Amino acid sequence: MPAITAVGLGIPDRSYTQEEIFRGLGHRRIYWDLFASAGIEKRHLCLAPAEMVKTGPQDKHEHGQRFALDLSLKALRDCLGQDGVEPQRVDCLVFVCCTIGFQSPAMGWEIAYEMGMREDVVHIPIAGAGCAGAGPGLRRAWEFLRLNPLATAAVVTAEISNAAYHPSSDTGVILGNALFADGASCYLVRNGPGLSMLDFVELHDYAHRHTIAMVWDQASFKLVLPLRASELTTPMVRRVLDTLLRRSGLSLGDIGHFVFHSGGRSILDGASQELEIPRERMEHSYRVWREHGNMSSATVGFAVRSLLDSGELRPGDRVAIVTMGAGFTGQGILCRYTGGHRD
Amino acid sequence: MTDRTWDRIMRAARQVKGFREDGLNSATGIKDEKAHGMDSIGRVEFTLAIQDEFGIQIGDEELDQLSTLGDLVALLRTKAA
Repeated sequence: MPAITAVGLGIPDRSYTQEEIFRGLGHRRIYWDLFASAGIEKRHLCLAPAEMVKTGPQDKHEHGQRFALDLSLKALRDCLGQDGVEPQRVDCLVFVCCTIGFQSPAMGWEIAYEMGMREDVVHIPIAGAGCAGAGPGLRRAWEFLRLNPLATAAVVTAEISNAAYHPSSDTGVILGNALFADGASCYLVRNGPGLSMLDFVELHDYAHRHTIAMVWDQASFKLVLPLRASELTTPMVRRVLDTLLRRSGLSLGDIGHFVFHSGGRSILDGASQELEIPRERMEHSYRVWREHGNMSSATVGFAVRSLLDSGELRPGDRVAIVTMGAGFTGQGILCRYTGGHRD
Repeated sequence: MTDRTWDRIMRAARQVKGFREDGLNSATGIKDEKAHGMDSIGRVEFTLAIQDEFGIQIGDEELDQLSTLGDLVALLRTKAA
């Protein structure tokens, strides 16, 4: 069964406190509560907040391209290094991003060139899936592995908030400025021991397809974000998990570890309360939230890596990964840990 | 308290999810979530609604001076004068 055998991470060198970001962006004092109450200790950003404000559309685009490539390469090298896999062994490269805009060829071609990958690598670019992008990314890799059992796939998720920084006074945009950060994560997917992916669920709430979104506005991406996203995410997490469990004949008690998209503290709290999952069993998601904030599609990879590194996993443990994002979409992956190189 | 300024503050506050009006008075703390039911996001919405209701901007320094709903009443009366 195709499994996640390693997760690599890439973050900018510099991190900032909420107060540093708030001051740097120059928001009015009435918005401070959005930053102060987020429960984030620090966020990593490629550009200093005061620089983000100054950048025009062209600079944002170029920064987005450059920083996304930098962080992707960091994450990919970290990932391949853990399993001792040479870049030439990668048969399929999935690249997921929603913040840096569209380009042709997609960023995956740049990554493959920089890494010296083979010329017959199968590229699967995924844009527009928002924060939930790791779900379809991993699913495409899983499908590739089902057709090519001996193959190796890498799924890179990279997001650059600055590329989507918008000089708007819209409260949803300012909330985004209070929560989002830069980062990349990369999954190695192969048949073998690891976090075996048993089933996938993808659910869409089309009535809210415009509630969380990235739209084009004044030659820039602009984030559309409701102030109370947990009103959408909590029932979606419930629906995704219920569907996964029903299809597998399992109950919540059979899931040993929950990894949710760390999109906001209220999102994690909402899932914990609705599903009556003790916060301790979601600690990896909470830790990622505190230490990184929301890195959109890259976020959940940080929590998966944290879980893999924790030593908590035992062969046979079931893991539920749930991501949510624009659409409004929920993505769920039911996994079983089958051991790995850390054992 | 039944004056016009207070009524308009309450009208703005009713737009905020979770807001509870019962038992509020001029001594109620603006950040006292238990008293009025407005969380941190709600307080931002409340301040924006106040600005809309009264057609004013509350400056950073003015905001720092506000501790109670009575302080807000006084500020709004001053700005209206």
